[in-house]
Amino acid sequence: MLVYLIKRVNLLVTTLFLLSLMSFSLGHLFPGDSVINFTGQQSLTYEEYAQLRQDLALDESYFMQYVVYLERVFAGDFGLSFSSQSEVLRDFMRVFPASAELSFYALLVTCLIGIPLGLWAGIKRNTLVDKVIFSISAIANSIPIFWLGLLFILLFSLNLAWLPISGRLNLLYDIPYETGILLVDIALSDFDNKWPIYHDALRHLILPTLTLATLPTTLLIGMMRSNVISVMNSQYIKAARTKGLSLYQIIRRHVLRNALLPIIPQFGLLFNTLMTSTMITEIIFSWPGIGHWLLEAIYQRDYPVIQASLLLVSSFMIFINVLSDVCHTMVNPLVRKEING
Amino acid sequence: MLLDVRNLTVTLKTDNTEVNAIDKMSLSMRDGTIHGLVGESGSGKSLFARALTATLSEKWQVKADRMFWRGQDLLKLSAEQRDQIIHQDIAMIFQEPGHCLDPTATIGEQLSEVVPESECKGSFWQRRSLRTEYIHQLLKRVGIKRYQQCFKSYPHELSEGLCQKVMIAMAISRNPKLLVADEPTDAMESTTKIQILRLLHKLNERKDMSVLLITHDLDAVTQFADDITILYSGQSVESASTKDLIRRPFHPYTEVLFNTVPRLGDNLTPKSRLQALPGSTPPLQHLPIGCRLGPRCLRAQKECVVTPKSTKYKGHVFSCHYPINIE
Repeated sequence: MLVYLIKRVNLLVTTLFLLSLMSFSLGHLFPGDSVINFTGQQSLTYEEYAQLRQDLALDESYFMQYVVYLERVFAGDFGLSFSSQSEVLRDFMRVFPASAELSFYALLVTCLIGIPLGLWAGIKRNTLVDKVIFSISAIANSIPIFWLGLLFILLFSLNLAWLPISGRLNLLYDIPYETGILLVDIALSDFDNKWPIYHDALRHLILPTLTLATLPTTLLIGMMRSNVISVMNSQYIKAARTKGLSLYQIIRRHVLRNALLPIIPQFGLLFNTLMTSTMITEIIFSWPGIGHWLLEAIYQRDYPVIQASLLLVSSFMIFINVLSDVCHTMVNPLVRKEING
Repeated sequence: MLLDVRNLTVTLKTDNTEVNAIDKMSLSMRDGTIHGLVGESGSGKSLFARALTATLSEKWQVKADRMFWRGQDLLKLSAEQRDQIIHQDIAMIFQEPGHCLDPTATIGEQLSEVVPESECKGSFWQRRSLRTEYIHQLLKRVGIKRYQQCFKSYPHELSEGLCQKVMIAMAISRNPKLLVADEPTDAMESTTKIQILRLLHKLNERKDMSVLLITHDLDAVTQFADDITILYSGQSVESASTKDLIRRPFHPYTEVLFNTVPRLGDNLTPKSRLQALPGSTPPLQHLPIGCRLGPRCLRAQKECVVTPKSTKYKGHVFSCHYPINIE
């Protein structure tokens, strides 16, 4: 087990190293002066420029420059943003909770819809229920997410006027920024009547969450369905039937666990698609999150932000991937068997 | 009579054809015996077991003149009633026991779901320990010495023999009247095989539990079974007590079958041919009409294109137009 953990950590460290290397080289590859690209300070006097050049070790070898870059990364210094002239890390920490919140709800919806539907389709294999679920998920899977988001807006916001078009909260409510997670912030704020605010926040959440959850849900339904089918055909389910367990007991005790376990490592991959979709969704619904921030930075050629967010977002993704892998090993005895012998 | 099946026909239905995988098979079993069901691969032995426990999928159709289980016709009962009787009285163990246990649950967890409620009466808090105690007893009863370790293990950490013992423990937890053992020792080492068979024998003697031993291992079956039914290609060939069957078979197939087993002291010359019927068992899509042994039988004549009726004679039940050893 320890060897396995070391292997995984090794993978994590190696990937992070390569990423940091790439992020570092971007500082030189971006057009413009590398001092400005690394620090983000645009109006410098000659003395300041010379000082920074020395601090960043830009006159020395690339290796020394990389070491200095790493030191700055570990100190949390990603330079300043071109457009806002505030620290990139602070900007990141400000927008990250919004994205994390949205992704988390989408993941929750994905699990709540995807797992039961996949299970149902798998158990009622080749019946009408299965065909309906499978074809709907196939259709939903093939709809591009940006188009789906716009369609939702057209239908529910413009035509039916049920739900708000964009943003996180009505401008009437001014919630002080505490954690960045809106529902938590509302709870922490000292307004008297919080229910209308919650209500408004949830109304704003529905469309982006649904848009974001669509693709992962269809993927999860597909995975769950095929896993359930293969588990239902296995010997031990047949044996369990002769033991006199009811279908419900068999599903609860044997099918669900055996079908879910192989999905856990897939969650890492699911998370990757989720992250990409989050960025698109944020643009469509003007959700002030990472995607919005990053695309804005790309439009404005805000090189320090692009450089930093590349490193931060991909590190986060890799971390989640490795984590889901390790979790899978912890809970699945079959994988432990392969590792141990 | 524990089990009395007459003219059981199991039909495989596909889109354009119907095949009788089991054709008018009969089997009767006395209370408290070990009954061997012998046949080559594909002769429908396992199919019979699954028809008996009603675990066949929908594409199979089961018909029989009668299928009496302790005086009740199983086929005339509703599905729920039948399932209830089967789950109460009949337990089953399979070949490849390692695949029959949930790979992601410990042995203890899997055993605890079959412990009957009546065995662990007590308060909510006592129930758990009572249940564990009961499972330990079960594991001890099937001869697992390190039962506590086994309790915590996952199936892949145990050997096939141990897994089969666990399956047997699971089967006997409800004190069934009949244990259907579907090739329980297939692909096992000979020492483990004998252990498992002895265990079944012991349970049969002490617990008065009848065993339907489905196998193609003639040695095992002649050693442990009281009665034997022989199947060929889905038709019952001959059925009698083991001794009678070996001493004086009436059906030509029975004689050939027992002759295929080489015995010590037979003075076999080295590299001589072993006894066997010419040809091979017919595949399901090309079943001969009438007696299915017909094309391979050395005594077959014109009449054999009609399925022979089962005849009772001197304790044997056999289906043949031209039986042997009858004066």
